Formats: sequence, C-alpha cells, structure tokens
Amino acid sequence: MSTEPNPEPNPAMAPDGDPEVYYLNMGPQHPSMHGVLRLVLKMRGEEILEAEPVIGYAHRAHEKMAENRNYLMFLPNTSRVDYLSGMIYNIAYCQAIEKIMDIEVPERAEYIRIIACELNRISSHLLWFGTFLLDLGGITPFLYCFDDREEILDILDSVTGSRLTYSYGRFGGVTMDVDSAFVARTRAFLARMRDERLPKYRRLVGDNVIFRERCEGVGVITRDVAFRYGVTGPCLRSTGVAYDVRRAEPYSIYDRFEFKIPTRVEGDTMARFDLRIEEMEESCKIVEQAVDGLPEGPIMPAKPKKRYRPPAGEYYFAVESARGHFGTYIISDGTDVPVKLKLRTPSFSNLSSMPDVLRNTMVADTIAIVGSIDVVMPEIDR
Amino acid sequence: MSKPRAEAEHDSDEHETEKMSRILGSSVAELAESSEHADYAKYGYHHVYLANIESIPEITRHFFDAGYLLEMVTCQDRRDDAGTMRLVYTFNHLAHLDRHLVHADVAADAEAPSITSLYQAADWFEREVYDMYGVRFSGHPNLKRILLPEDADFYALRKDFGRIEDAPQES
Amino acid sequence: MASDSKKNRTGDKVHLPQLTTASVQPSLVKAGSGHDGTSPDGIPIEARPYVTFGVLEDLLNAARANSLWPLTFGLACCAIEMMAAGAAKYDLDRFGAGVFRPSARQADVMIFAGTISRKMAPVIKQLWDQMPSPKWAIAMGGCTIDGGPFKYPNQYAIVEGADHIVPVDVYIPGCPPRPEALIAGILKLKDKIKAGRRFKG
Repeated sequence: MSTEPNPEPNPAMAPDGDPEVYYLNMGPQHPSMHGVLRLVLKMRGEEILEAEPVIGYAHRAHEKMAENRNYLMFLPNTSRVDYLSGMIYNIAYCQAIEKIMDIEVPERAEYIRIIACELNRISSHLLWFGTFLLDLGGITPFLYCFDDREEILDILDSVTGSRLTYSYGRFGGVTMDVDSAFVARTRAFLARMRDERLPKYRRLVGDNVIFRERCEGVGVITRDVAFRYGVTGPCLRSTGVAYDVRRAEPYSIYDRFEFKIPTRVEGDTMARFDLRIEEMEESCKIVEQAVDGLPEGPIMPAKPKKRYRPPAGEYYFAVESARGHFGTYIISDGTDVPVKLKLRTPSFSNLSSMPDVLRNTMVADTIAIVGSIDVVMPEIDR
Repeated sequence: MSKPRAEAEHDSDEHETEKMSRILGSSVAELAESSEHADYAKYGYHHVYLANIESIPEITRHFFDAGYLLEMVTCQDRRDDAGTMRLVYTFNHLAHLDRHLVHADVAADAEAPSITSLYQAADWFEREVYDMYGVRFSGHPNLKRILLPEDADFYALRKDFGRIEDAPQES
Repeated sequence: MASDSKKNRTGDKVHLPQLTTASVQPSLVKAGSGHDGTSPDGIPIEARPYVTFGVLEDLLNAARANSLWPLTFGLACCAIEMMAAGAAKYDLDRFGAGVFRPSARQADVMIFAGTISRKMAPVIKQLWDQMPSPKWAIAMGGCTIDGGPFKYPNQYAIVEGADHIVPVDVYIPGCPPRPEALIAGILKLKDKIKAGRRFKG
C-alpha cells in the first residue's frame, strides 16, 4: 500500500525571505537532549523564532505489540514505556485491568504498591534533578542524586529483582512480599532524605545564585498555553492549577493518605524545580504513612485468574506518573487480546507545548527549558 | 459492542440546548441511555457519545468554552466491522472530574476536520492518528508523520498491517 | 631488550638493538647500588616497575584500553544504567572510561544503550562514521543484541540488533544490564584491545 508522503515542510519554519534567519539542529544525539529528541530551531542571532521538536526516534511499537499479545504478556512492556516511572506504569496497567475485571486487591498489596510507586516517583524526580543540573553545568548534584537513587533502587531491587524496569505488579496484587528489612531500610532512607538530603539540595542548588539567574523567569508556561496543549503534571502545577490525578480521581488507596499538592504560579523553570523538590517531600510523607499503616495479609487474591478476558467495551484508567496524567485506554472485544491499547502519556502533550514556550527565547535557555519539562522520549514515541 | 448511543446533531435546536446544558454541568440527565455504560467506576468516563464527524468542531467548541481539557485523540480501525475509522476524543475538566468520550466515524479515505485551531494539543494527536491510521485532517497546519520515519509507506496501527501471522518466514 | 634476538608475534626471530644501562639516562641509574646496575634485560632493578620495554603496539593498546572515551549515546532505558555506572557508586572513571564525550569525533567507543528504532538507524550510522579509528562498539542490553523484548515476528519499528549497523565488539546481555554488567563488558573490551586485535575501523 502506498501513501503520498506529505512533502510540505512546517509552514511556521519557513524562512519568510529573511536573510538573517538560520536553522540549528539539536539532536537526536546531543549531550543534553534527554533521550533522542531532535529540536530544529529557526533562529535569528541568538533568538529563537520558531522551534520544532522532531520525535519518533525511540518508537518501539508498544501499541502494536499490545494488539499482538494478550494482556498478561504486555506487562513487561509497561515499565519500558516510561522507565523512570516504571513501577508506576506497571502498577497502573495492573490497576486498569483490575478495575475492568473487578479483581479485588488485598490490603497489604495496596499498601506495598503505594510504597513502591511513591519511591519510584522520588527516584524519578531525583534523576530529573541530577540530569537537569548536569545540563546546566553542575556536575556534583548528579552524583548526590544518584547516591540517593541507588538507595531506592537497592530497596526496590531487594523485593522485585529489578532496578529499573519492573514487572512487579500482577493482576490482583504484587509478586513478592516485603519483609522487616525492607521496612527498616525504607524508614532509614526517608529519614535521611527528609532531614539531610532535601534541605541540602535546597540550600546548595536552590539558593545558588547562578542557578537562580538561569532559571528564574525562564521558560514561562502560561495557564492558557498549558490548557490548550493538554499539559499535565508538574508543568501544569507550576502555572497555578492544582491538578493531580491522585486527588482528582483517586485510585488505589490514595484517599487514605494526607499529602499536599504543591503548586506555584510563576510557571517558570525555577517554579518547576521548587515544585519537584516539594513533591519529593510529599512522596516521602506518603511512604511514611504507608509504612506505618502496612497491614498483615496476603499479597495476591486467593484464586488469581488464569486467563484475563475483559468484557467487551472501552475503558479508560488514569494515574499520576512523575510527569503527569498517564491514561490507559483499552478497547476489548471479550477475548484475551486487546483490540486497541492506547497509552496517553503526559510527556507527549507536555513536549508539544515547546514551540509556544521556546518562541522568542534565547538559545542558551533552551537546555534549561527543555530539561525542566522533564520528558522521557520513549514515553512520547511509545 | 451493544452499547446504546445517541447522535449529536448540531442542526437540531432541542439537541443543542440539551447538549449545552449538559456540558455546562447543569442537572440535565446524562447522555448515555443506560447508566451502566457510563459508570465511571467501571469504565473510567462519565459520558460517551457518537457524533457526526462534521459536528466535531462544534462539539469541541462547547468543551473548549466550558474549560475542558483535551486529554486524547485516537482512532480505532473498524474497517472490517463497519467500513470506517472511528476517531475517539476525550475531554475532561480539571476542577471537577467529568470525562466525556466522543466517537466520530470517518471513512477510510475521507478527511476529518481538524480541531487544532481550538486545542493545539490536537496538533500532535492528529498527526499521530494520520501516522498510525492514515486518517487525514483538513485544516491541520502541519500534517505529516510524527513517529514513523518521514518516508514510511505504511500506516502502522491498521489492522491489516504488521500482524504476526503475516511475518515473512525466516529461512 | 638486551638479548640480540626475540621472537615477534608470528614467531619469527627478529634482531633488535642492544639497549644497556649505558644508553639509559643517568637519572634512572641509582648510584652505589652495589652492582653494576645491569640485569639480563638491561633495566636497573630499582627502575623495574616503572620502566619496561615492549612492542609499541602493546603500549598503544594499553593506552587505548585504559582510557576509553565513550560517546554519550543513550537511546532508551539502558542509558539510565549507563548513567548509574558513571555515577559515584559504580564508578566508571576508575577504569578510565568515565569521560563521556558528546562529540563523536572525540570518542573511542560507542555504547549502544537502548533500542535502535528504524528512524534512528541512519543517525547511528552517521555517528559511527564520524568516529575516528580506532573505534569500538559495545552493544548494551537485549535490544542491541537482537531486538530484546521488542523482537517479535513482523516488528516494523526497530532494528533487531546493533550488529545490523556497526561491527559490535562486546555484547552485554540484560534488560537493562546492571551497572556491574556494563563494567564487566568494558573490562572485556579492554582485554580485547590489549590482546591487540587489528582494527579496520
């Protein structure tokens, strides 16, 4: 089957007859383009007139694979969609199927899931923090963040067996139970994070004058831009909208925990930075409450199903990943292979706002802005 | 699928009022006939519609004015069942949870109207639908492939493409 | 080598010039060492750990192996483990391989960390061509070995294995491989380089 390729270039990127306009290509291999993002910048001097993100370099056909295998076989794919929030995505997919098929999850498994997902959120924000500073030229925070991250990864590794791409969730619960060593290690980690590390990051980085100069007022996302582009997650919360899926449509047992939804109003890079530090603190609070309230009991239903055949229909399930609103849209025809599985990933919409955000900024700020959006390319390209 | 549907046609005054007041959150009854089908606890959305493809810009305008976020635009290949491609739009309000799923059928070689003039989020969503399903959108500012290579000659998520059973046999 | 003849790599006897302490700089010879300072291969005892004679190629291979400069080339999930290997806990710098270069022209080794999509393949080829010889390639993770978790019949989106594009020297299995596995792979590459395989680039 042949299709006519659309050869017309993006009209916004046309030179308009201006002899001073030139084009700069950043990526897909670039020291700071997180993942394989390609940004084509139309510039005059140092000023960006128009930016066009080119994506698709990490397209791995997740959605096609979902149509070619049954629901259980798709579990390993879920972590690899956004590998930094791998646990959150994995558990979210399990939760979607459980909701569709009315599978009851034991209490202990719910608590363990919350602990694992929130630890995963902290580790994702830590990695963002380290790489963001690395992009701006500060190499030391990267090492500290990875040190904290290694502690989380060790904690999760001890129970799941993986460091990055987990298949910890099953439809109805989790695979392995946690023990007292896990709990003790988690508590120790939380204490260190809250008492020592997060204040240190605030002081050393947040109060650093160079960092502030590079981030304050840079890359402002307005509420209007965020609304029209479907931006969610910390990028949206930095514009003043307190939207968090854990509060807006509570899933799992998040309604039992006390946590704030941090917001800022400036919408600039500094706001997103402060926001993510606060989110790490709030996640620490949730983990602490979950660890304190961890009940005894089984971690899988007494009689897990052998085959998973959701009733025919269309279903949508949303969670809050580290980057925003992650939605799973499943069309089932009653068999054990989905008709369609669409992953509504937050970075896709967040990155699509880049042309508006980068317009009329300086190219030197591009790295800071794109870094502060916190995109993961395989999540965009799926 | 045996879900009952209601058609939204913008040239009917009665439907227009009903639609407007429903979207603006008044106490008008939900569009879906049977509450089981729009049961949020099971399905994850509150309302589901089947609309004419020509009325999609109008419907989108109502959601935009009421402050609903465009969460997703995707497509389902129903050429085997019904000979059409079914576009799916999802709208949700951030302040109060209210998710609407809007379906619109379009013939495989026909064009659908683009909603990028209202929601710029649709820019990339529609490009992805074109890339994966081949549905063109009229009025789109930059309709070209987004995920597949620019010179790809296939539409990836169509049902007749890329099936395991069609794989060439390894020698 | 003080001996007159020595076998080269192919086993032929080669005649080499005599190198004695007389031709070595005076600072290397300790005064009053109690003997005339020579030893069977001409190196003074005191200087022995610090001075050695060898084939130039071996020396160059040792230098190349011990200071591999990888290209910053994370494609997907394995990139995170590569970053973790470069961070403080699993320090790559102690093996000399911690200096990640963003420019392909300054890099020795390309660590393919992540799935190679068909759209990315020409870019990879271009980067590989930009790297000057001698250069090596490490395929990290299942995706670069044969497609890994994304391999299935009629997969349209990925290149199933980095060796479809470049000649790979070391394969590191895992999904993603632990940082220790990446370090083991780099050490294996070092062994390979030190063993003196001839490269055509």
